[in-house]
Amino acid sequence: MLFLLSIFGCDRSGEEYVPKSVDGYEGVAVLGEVTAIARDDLALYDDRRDLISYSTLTLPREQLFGGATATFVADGGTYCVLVDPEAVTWNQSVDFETPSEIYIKKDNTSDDGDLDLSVGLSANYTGTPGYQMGNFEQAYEDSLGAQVTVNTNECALVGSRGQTGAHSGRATPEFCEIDTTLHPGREYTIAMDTWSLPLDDDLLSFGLAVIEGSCDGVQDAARVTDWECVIPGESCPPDDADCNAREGSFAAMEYAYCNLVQNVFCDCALNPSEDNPSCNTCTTGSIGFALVGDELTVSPLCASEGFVADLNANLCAAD
Amino acid sequence: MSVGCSYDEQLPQANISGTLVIPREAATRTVLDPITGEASEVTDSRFIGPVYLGAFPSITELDYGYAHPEMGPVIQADIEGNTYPYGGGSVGRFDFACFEYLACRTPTGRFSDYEDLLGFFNNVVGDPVQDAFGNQVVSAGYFQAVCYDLFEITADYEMEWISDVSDYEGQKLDRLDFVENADGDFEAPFDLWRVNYAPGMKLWGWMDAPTDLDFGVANQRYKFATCNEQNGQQNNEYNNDFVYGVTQIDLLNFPGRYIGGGDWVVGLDDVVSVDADTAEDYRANPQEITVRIASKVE
Repeated sequence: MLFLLSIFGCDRSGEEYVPKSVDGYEGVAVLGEVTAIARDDLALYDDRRDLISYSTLTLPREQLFGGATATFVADGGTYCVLVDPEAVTWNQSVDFETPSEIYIKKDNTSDDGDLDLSVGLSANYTGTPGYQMGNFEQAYEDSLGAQVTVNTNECALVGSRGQTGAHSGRATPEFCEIDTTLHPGREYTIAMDTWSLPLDDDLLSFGLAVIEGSCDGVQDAARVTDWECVIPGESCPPDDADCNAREGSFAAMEYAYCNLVQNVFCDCALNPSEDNPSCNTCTTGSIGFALVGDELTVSPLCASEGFVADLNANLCAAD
Repeated sequence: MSVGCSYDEQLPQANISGTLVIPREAATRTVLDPITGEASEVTDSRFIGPVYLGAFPSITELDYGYAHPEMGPVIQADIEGNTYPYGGGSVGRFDFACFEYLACRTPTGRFSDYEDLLGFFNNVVGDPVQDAFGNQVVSAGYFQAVCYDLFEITADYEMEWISDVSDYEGQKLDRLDFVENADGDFEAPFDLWRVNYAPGMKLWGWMDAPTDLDFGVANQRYKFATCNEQNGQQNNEYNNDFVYGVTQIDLLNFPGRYIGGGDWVVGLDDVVSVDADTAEDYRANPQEITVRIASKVE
């Protein structure tokens, strides 16, 4: 009996759940100084791809914690700092009788990574950019000489219950407002700590945007309704030539997610039976979208400037 | 076992206990007779809101118009510095007394029982308690039935806001905090558990006074600034859709956010200094402490 158990018990090592370091990529990256993006420049997809900073991280070779840093110089105003790790995530609708149609496609969680965002004065950052990630903790001594550790991270992320110090989960953007009134002309550091790497390729691509003004209205300025869609195509940085082969149809999937039609990817052709009742309503956009293999292709008309896909009407309309 | 229990861990912490004194004026309000509209002054310990006490490095009047703990560095614009308290506690905390109408309005240690609470809101405050259907609650029996049904309990002592009650063995639990002293002021014992000890630390605190009732002009209900009305346990039973409210989480770290006109603070002259050299010394010879919250914030 024990012999039999030992045979089956050892049929997997769990190694696939442990990320590895990939040659050619850094575990602790430096994006350098980034320029704040004007809100008016957020409107077009291609402009955002040009102005947003993209990079890719892997498991650090020597350091314990991975991540990336960037800086920006404050002018005394307010900035919205937004980071979007790959890829997109949602909860699958599993209701057999009345599923939520757009969520019947199961999310591929193995392509998701997670970055935790913090922002503060560079003078308070304890890390060594490009070598070791740090934090914004500084020692403060009160009037009785008691030492207190003060966290000078100014990126206030508030959880659903109002608790401070919260972070978003996998593949979900994090953003916060930085009011630089107290320190005009000073340099701020943006620290993005690697919380988890995608298990499919051990590479975590992401996009970082520093946007002028508050975070209110950023989605409107980018003409999207989901923070995931402000930073487009973060799974494939524009300068990563190998990425499309590696990441497959992410750009199409993100586009579909942002337009609430990710069910175009559901595998109705493979599974048309009663096991997948939603296949009866599985949309395959014929005008705005075309499904080629497992890739969603936006029609040339809809992708061109001045037009937008009206998915409800399945039409390309003038923007 | 006896040897084990005598082991001194030499923790740099101490339990600070003492007596809290609230002046009579802080428990006195002008109320209107709900029938005649006649104004009269009423002194009632049930007007005493929750009291928050803490131990701080120093107290100053430089930052606000009243005594306030020293603050650490200001890190973000428009956000005051953290006071970094050594520890603290409260005399009374918000509890949910079964009706949405009473969310954020019921501190513990103030009400004897159902009738006491109903009498206070219905007859003294003049803001009668309403049930989920908008009907005035006048029956203690109905009040109790709603509570038992809501919390799925079988005894009054399971609700902290009921103070004059017996436990499951029939032992009397006197959980009322304040009693009137010989001067006509109100006293209550307090305990600040496991305070990180610093010689010379100062005890300071404040009483969150309920707002004046003013439906006519300000649409102001009888409520407290230190209760978060947007948070706490959620009730979605049947048609219910509300939260119970919960004490704000940063009261001692950022007291200036919550103190306003009408509240009472420990004034500079009443700040108590804890002066034993070490926590061990303090534990061996606890200081006799009386904290007076006698300075009204205008």
